[in-house]
Amino acid sequence: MKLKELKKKFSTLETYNIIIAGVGGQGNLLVSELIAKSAIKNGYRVVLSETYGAAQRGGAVNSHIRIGKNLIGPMIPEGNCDILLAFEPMEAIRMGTKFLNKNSIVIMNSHPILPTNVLSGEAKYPDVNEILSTIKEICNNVISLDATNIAIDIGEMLVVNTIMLGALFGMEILPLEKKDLLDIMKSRLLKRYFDVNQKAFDLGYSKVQKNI
Amino acid sequence: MISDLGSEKKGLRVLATGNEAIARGAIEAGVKVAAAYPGTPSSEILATLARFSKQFGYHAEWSINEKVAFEVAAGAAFTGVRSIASMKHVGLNVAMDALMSVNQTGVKGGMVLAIAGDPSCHSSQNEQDTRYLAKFSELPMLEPSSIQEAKDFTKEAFKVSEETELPVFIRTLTRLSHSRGDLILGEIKESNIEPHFEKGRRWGMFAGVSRFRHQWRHDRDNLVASIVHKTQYNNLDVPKEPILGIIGGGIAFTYAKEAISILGLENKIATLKVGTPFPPPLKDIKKLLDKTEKILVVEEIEPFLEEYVIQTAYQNEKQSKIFGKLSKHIPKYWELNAKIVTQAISKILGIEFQKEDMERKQILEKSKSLVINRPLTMCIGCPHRATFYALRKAIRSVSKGKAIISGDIGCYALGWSPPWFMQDTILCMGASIGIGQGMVHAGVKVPVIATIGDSTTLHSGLTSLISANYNKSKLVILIMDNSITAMTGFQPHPATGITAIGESTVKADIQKLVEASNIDFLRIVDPYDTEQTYKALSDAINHDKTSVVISRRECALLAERDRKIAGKPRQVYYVDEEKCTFCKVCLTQVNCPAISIRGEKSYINPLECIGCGLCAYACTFGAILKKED
Repeated sequence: MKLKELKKKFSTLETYNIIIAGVGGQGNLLVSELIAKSAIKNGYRVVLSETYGAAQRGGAVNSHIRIGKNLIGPMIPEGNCDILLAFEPMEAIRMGTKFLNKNSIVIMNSHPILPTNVLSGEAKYPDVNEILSTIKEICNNVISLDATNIAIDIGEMLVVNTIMLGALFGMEILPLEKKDLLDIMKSRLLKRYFDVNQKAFDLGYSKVQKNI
Repeated sequence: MISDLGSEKKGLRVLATGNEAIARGAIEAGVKVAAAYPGTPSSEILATLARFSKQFGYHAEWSINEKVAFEVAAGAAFTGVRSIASMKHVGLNVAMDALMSVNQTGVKGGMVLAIAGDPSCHSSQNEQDTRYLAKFSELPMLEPSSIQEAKDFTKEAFKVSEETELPVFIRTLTRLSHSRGDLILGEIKESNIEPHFEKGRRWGMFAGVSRFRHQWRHDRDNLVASIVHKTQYNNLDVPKEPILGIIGGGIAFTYAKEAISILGLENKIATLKVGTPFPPPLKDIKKLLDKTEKILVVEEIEPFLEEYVIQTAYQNEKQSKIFGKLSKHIPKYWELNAKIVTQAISKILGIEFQKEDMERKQILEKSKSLVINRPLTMCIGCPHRATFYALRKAIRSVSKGKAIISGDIGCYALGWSPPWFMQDTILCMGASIGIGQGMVHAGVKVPVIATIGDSTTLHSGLTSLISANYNKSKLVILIMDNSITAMTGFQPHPATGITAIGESTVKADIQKLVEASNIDFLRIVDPYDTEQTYKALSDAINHDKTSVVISRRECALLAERDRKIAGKPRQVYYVDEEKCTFCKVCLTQVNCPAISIRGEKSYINPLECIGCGLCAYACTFGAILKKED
C-alpha cells in the first residue's frame, strides 16, 4: 500500500490497535503512557495492557494500546495489530508472528539486543536481514531504522524509545498531534531528561519524514 | 497526569491502571487504614494509596508480610473504620490463617481484601484461582472487568462489607491490574467515623464460641446473596432467540465480547457478565438457562462458575448443553484470549470463522522458527551477580563444584536462569531455609546453601533461620541483601528505615536479628569485593554448624539512580583488546548485559557499564581495566 492510501485507511479506523515491543529497560511503558495520554487529550477512549514485574529484568516486554471511541478489552486479538512499534528486531518478530496481518505497519529498530543466552553461546541470534525480510513477507509496510546508533550519537542509550516514538509520529498515521505529545512529555519528565528526549524525538521524526 | 488521580474533581477523566483504580475506589470510600506486602501484580495498589495518604489523612503501610497486613486491616475494621489489605494471590495463602478466623468474627467497619491473581504466571510461582478461597472462607467476592469497575466495585465493596459485617474480596488479575485506561473519578467521602472497639464475645475465637460464629456466618447466607445479586455487578443481556449463552467474568468476559464481535454474532448470543463470582448469581444463571439450550462458560484458570452452572441446571432439571473447561472447549490453565474463545464458539455452533491460508501459514511458521527465547537476567552491576559468581567459585574450590542451592522469591531467583543455574529449588516466600534444612537432615552428601533476600528474610525467613540453628543443621544460609524489595518495584521494608509514605523510621538490623539467634558463624561481606565474598562462602561451606553469610550491597538500579541525581561521574570498565584472548569467560561466566562481542573480542558498552568490576575480577588475562579519566 502506498503511504497516501495508508493514511487514508488509517484516517477511517474505528479502533487503532498498537503494539509496542521491546526488551525490559528500554522504556516501553513510558512510550505507551505518552501515547495513551495524548489520545485522551484528543477525546479518545484508550485502554492498554502491559507486561512488567519480572519482565523488567531484561526479558521481552510488550504493551497493547487500543485507541478508539468504543473499546472492549485491553488485549489486541491475534492478527489484529495495526501498528507494531518494535524497539528491537527479535521482539519485532516475536510479536509480529502472532499479531500482524497483511495491512499492518511495522516500525522497527534494526539494532539487536543480544539475549544473555546468545552471549553465553547457548542460542544463536538470526541475521537481522532475515528477520526484516520475513516481517516484510508477513505484512506490506515495514520501516526499519537504527535507533540505537542515533541514541549512541546523542550519548544516551535510554532515548531509543523516544527516537522510535518520533518515528511513529513521523509516519503521520495516528490521529494525534505532535505538539500535544511533546507537551505531555514535558510535564511527565524532569527538565534535564526532557531536553534530550525532545532531541531524540525530533531525530526519529525527521528520519522517517525523509524516508517516506 | 498521575497526580490527577488524587483530584477531588468529580467527573474528571484520568488515565489509570487497574491497581490505581482500586486505590482510588478506597480513597473515595474514605478508607482509614491500608496495609499490604508487595507482590506482582498487586504492589501498585498500596503504592498508590501511600502516595495520597497525607493528602487524605489515612494510614498506609508496607507490612512485614501479608498475614500482618491482613491483621492490621482487620484490627482497624474491628473498630468501625474502613480498611483495605492488598496482596497477590499467593500472598493470600500467607494471610489465610488469620482470614479463616476473621470470617467468623466478622468486622464492623468496611474491610476490603484486594487480591491480584496472575494467570499464566507472568511473575508468580503458580496461578491458583482465588475464587475458591472466597468460597472456602465463605466471604463475598466482587470481580471487576474494566478499569472503571475496578474503582466502582472497590468503593461498593466497603458498603457490602458493612451491610454483611464480613470482609469482602476484590479480585483482580494481571491484565486488569496492569492495564491502563480512562477512569472517571467519583466523589471522595470524608471519613468522620470515630474508631470505637465495642468489646464482646464475638471477637474471641475461643473454643465454645467459635462454632457458634460459624453458625452466625450461615445465618447471613440470604443477606449476602441478596446483596451480591444487585444488578450493577452482574449483567444479563439476552437478544431475541439466542443461539448460545455465554457466562463469564472479569477480563475473560472481555475476550468473550471480543470473540462475539469478531464473529459478528452480537444479536445472536446472550451474555451474563458475572461480577460476583462468590456467591454467584444463581438466579441470573437460571434465567439464562431458561432462554437458551447451549451455554459456554468463559473463565480463566479453574471451572469455578462452570460447576455452579451445572449445579443450577441439575437443580432446575434442565437438559442444557454446558460447554467450558470440563467439555474441553476452554483450556484449564493459562490466560485466555479472544482467539481461544472465538474457536470455542465456532466449534460449538459449527461455523468456520477463518479460512486456512496455506501460504500465510508457511510464512508464519518460518517467522516462528526465527524467534528465540529471551531469558530474564540480572541487571548490569547487580550485586547478586557478584554474589553468585563468588558462590560458584567457592563451591568449585571447596566441594568440587557439587552443591544444592535452595532458592527463594526475589531478584536472586534470576540465578535460576541460564547460564547461572544457581537456584535448584524455588517455591514460595521463605522456603529456601526449610527446604535446605530438610535436605541436610535427609543426609545429602553435598553442601546445601539456602539463598534468601533481605525483604524475604524479614517476611518469613527469620523463623526458619532460628529453627535451622536450633536443630543443629549444617546449612549455609546466604542472605543476599540489596536493601530493598527490588523485584516488585523497590518498596521499602523494615530494614530500610523508610516507611511506605517516604518518612524515615527506625531501621531493623538484620545482622543483629541473626546474631540474636546465637549463630556460630556469621560474616558480613560486600559482593563487589568478590574475593572476600568467595572466601567467606568457602569458610561457611566448611563450617560444621549452621552458618550465615550476609552479602550486602544496595540494588544497582537504585545506586545508579542516586548517582544520576547526585550528578556523580560513572565508573566504567573497558577491554584492552591487546590482552583479550577472547576466552569468553566474561561472556559465559559473568554474563553481564553490558558485555557483548565486537569483532573477535569482548566489548563493554561504555554507555551501559556502571563499574561493578566483576568482569575485571573474573578476567584471568587482566584484559579488563578500569577507565581512568
